[in-house]
Amino acid sequence: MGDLARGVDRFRYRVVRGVFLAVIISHSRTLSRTLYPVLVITQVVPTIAIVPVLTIWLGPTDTSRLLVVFLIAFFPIVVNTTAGMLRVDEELIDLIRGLNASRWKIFTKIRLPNALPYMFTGMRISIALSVIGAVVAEFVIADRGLGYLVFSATSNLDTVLVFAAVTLLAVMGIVLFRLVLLVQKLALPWAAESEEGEV
Amino acid sequence: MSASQHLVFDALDKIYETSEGALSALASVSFDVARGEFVSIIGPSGCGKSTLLKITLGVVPLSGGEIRIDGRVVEGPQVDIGMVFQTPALPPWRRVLDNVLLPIEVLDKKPADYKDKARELLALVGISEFEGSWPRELSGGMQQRVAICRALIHDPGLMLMDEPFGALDAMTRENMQAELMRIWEEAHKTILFVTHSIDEAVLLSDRVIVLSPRPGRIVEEVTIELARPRTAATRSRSDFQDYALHLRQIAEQV
Repeated sequence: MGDLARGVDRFRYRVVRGVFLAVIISHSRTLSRTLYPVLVITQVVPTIAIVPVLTIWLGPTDTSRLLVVFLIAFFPIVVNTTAGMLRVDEELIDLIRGLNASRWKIFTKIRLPNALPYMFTGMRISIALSVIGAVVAEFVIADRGLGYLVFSATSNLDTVLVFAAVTLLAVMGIVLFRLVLLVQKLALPWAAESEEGEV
Repeated sequence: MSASQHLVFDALDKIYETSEGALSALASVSFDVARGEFVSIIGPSGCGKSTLLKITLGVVPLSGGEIRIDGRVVEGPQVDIGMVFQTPALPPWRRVLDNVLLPIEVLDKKPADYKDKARELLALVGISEFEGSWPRELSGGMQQRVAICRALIHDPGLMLMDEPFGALDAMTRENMQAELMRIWEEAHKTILFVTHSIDEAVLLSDRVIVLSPRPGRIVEEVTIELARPRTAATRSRSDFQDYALHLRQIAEQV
């Protein structure tokens, strides 16, 4: 399960980067106009089609595998967190501005905490996509891992092994998903139950 | 400067630039409010009532005229104002007590120094036992009580209330009206109160100002000379009903 632990660790970095990007996007119109199209492009380009190209460029390394996962799973965190920062009760903002609050204060006291449930929603989508991303990467650029196993077992017509590996991947996805949900429940006890989306 | 000139609205104009051209929201609105007076503003939807409050709060700029508080021209946000909206607008990540203390934090004062005050206010509106609850655990009426406490925590001289009871059911609404009158009498605040309800305006106010549809102009000012304290029974008095009928007739004409 070393893969899994490493995956969770990297997921954390991705969250930090995603939130950072969301802060920038929600704060500056110019930057959001510059960055958003790039983000959208990373999402609309079929990643699986460019995986072989990435392999040619970067070699069959960890970096190229990570980049694939990143391309697939980064987007939901940024988009959701940005939405959370912008979708704030306007009257609450007026109330705070009426107290002569700076933009920074509005950001730390209101926008950032308001974005947290949205960020977790993004993380739930993202973590599920991460598993898919890892498999996609391993199809093309790996000599081990569950994705590689599925790929090689298919070549050998070993459908039993394929389903065993796929089942394990699905279980991993569910466990990770529930893990994010658990962290959310612990970290944001104030969020309404209905927003959590039970599975 | 006489007592009636605590708060002066002097020929206010507000024009919004929209994609369909200039839209006039308020046109030469002038009136005075005395210290400690309870003034209601009524008028049809879109007559600029809410805009008037936001201008007073200092978060929406004027297009013309000026507002003076104690002779000083209002420019930008006014810290000495407590604001209550129709929605409680309580950040869900703050417990009730912390929600009440929000203005203190925003004003860079020490929340610890105001905890007792916050608890007093929660006791005043009868929700002491909920100080540790999350907003989502409270009913709409209780949430609005928290919002009123939050507006009072920094002891502002002026309260602006934008249809604060508009989203509440009839029973809760009447309770809240009674509580607001009690708070107003105890705390000696000046209150500018926007409402759709003529009965509510007559019951609560010293004076009722009627605005016309867009652009909002003052069409009538009625001084309500009903004896205080006013209670639910006040509604059945004939002079209460005379006031309400008079205002209704004005409202129909505009």
